[in-house]
Amino acid sequence: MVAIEDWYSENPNVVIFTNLDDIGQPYSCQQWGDHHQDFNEDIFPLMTDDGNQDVIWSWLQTGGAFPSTAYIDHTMTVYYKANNPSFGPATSTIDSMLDECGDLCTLSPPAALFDFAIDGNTVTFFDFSEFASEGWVIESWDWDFDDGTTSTEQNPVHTYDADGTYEVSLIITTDMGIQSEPYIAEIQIGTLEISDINSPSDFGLLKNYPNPFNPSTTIDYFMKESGNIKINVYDMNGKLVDEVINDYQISGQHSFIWSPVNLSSGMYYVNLVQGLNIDQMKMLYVK
Amino acid sequence: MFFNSFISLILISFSFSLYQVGDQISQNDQDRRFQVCYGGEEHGLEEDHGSYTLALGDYNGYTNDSGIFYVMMIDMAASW
Repeated sequence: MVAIEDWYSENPNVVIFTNLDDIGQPYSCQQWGDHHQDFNEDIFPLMTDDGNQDVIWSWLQTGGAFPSTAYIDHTMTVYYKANNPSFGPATSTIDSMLDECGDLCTLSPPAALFDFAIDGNTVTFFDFSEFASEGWVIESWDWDFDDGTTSTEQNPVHTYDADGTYEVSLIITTDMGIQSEPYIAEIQIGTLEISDINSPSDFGLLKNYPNPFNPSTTIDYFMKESGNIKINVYDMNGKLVDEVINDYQISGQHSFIWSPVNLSSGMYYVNLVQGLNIDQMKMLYVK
Repeated sequence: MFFNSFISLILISFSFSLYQVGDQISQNDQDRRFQVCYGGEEHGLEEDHGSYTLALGDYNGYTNDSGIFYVMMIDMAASW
């Protein structure tokens, strides 16, 4: 039989707590560990009010009886409170709550993304954040060129005064005032040092190509030593969406082509793991 | 004995039902953090100084870091 938490396990915007452990209790974890298996008159009053952490228990109580069920909608309003609803009414109620909040409850967080083209010391930046922030309205862009200068243009052109390696970052802000995490890219101005170029003696992922991509992209990676490696792909919420490689491979350069299946457009993370060595890379899937 | 029971009943009655259906959880109560003894990692909670905590405001798009709103179902059964 499908439990309600399993029914919504694929929906990251439904939070289901099904036992006391999930939401904490109005008494200490130590007390909980000592007494939760047995009814204890000395402990029971603490469950309803210890004068401090009483909130969740107080409004969950329906006349002091268990079990108790409560729903809270996206506006933090108590939507439903009763005893032990059956599976059917519970799912239909949650479905209607999701319908009410619409995109607000289905969006992935806004994410910054850009690409660039280098011509001498001049770099032209191309903002791709709207692809990575589907559903959001981007209101502002904050660039940091890592040479003491900044810009708020969407697609700035910047000239560096000196050769070197610069970590350029972009943060976007939506019309709701939500800021993205910074997206950072390393830019090399001038002649590359040999040590800056990945060689077969390195470990790690190289930038996928093309990016953004549809329907597939190629990912190159280096292994310093032969051994077991894992390559997984995760979505923006950290959910594993594809186990690409879990195998023994020899040292050197390898590559694979990744084609998303039944996945929505957006940002995805590739993780390369070999022993204690870990590397991660972002890539953008567009439809 | 009767008097003690009466006092206890009054105290417990006052502690029930802070929120009724249609009430909105106050900002103060949304900000209140609860210690999570077990299962914090399974629910994606962040570890802070060796323990997991949870606040209802973590699921409010206006106040959490992601701007994403959530709906919550809290279905609780005691094991005694």
